[in-house]
Amino acid sequence: MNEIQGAAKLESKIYTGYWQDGTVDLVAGGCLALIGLSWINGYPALGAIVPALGVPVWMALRQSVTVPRMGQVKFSQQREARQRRGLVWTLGLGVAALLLFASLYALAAVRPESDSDFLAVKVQWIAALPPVLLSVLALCAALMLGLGRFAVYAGVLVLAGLVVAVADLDPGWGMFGAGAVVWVAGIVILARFMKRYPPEPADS
Amino acid sequence: MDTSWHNSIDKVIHEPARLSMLACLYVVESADFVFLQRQTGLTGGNISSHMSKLEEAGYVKVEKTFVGKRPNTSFQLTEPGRKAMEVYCDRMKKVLGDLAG
Repeated sequence: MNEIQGAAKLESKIYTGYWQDGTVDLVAGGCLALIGLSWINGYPALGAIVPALGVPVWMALRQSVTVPRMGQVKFSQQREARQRRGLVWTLGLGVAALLLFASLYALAAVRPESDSDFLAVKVQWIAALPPVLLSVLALCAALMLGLGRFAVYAGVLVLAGLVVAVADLDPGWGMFGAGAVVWVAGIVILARFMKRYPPEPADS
Repeated sequence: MDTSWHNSIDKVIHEPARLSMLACLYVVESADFVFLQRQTGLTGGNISSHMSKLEEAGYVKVEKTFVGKRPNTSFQLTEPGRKAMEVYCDRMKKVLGDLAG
């Protein structure tokens, strides 16, 4: 039993260590900031294509920056299956969050002009929803990858949502602000990673 | 006290550098040369020489491929290698348990 626990612990340590390159933070932060910018500028539909571009960019970054420095590893089939399940859950939650926000926003948009201030306050809070809903995805990523910093990013997203609601801002500002924070964190982590691990010749 | 246990300890595994490489390969499906270097902190030369011994013993399968234009060597623990690691862990646990009393 102890051996199994020890092996699982070592595997988790190696798996978590493989995500300490900052590339996922950089790309996720960049995507969030771009989605925010597209909303602020009145082109929310443009934001929808950003995540689709983010995945190939991340894979290219990983291949050109991480692999020459960290090498390549194939994790166990159980781990890969768990990762796939986590990804399906995260994507499912993402779609659900998007649908929830779109429905609430549509409901708020069709409300009669004569409605009281109470409804206006509610609309203000609906604007805070995108970053708050995305914080759930950040928490999923924290659990799935075993990365505590993603729980911090979830906190940043909730905070961004609160600021948007209190200051009555466009929801895009919350996404842009939180995205910028995650992006900067990604740059710092990536710079540290590149300094710590210079590229190795393919095979010594 | 019976000290004949040293005959039952697998000396191919009972070497710190080889043990750390095998421990890493025990928990993953496969890993390449650079990855093992990073995980174990060993030099390229050390990894090459120890891997030859592990390959000779039939504990590790070596696969040489090309990733783009770069040569890439990856390692995978074989079934006998996995079994040998488990036996080694059991024996060491017993020896250390006996010592602790």
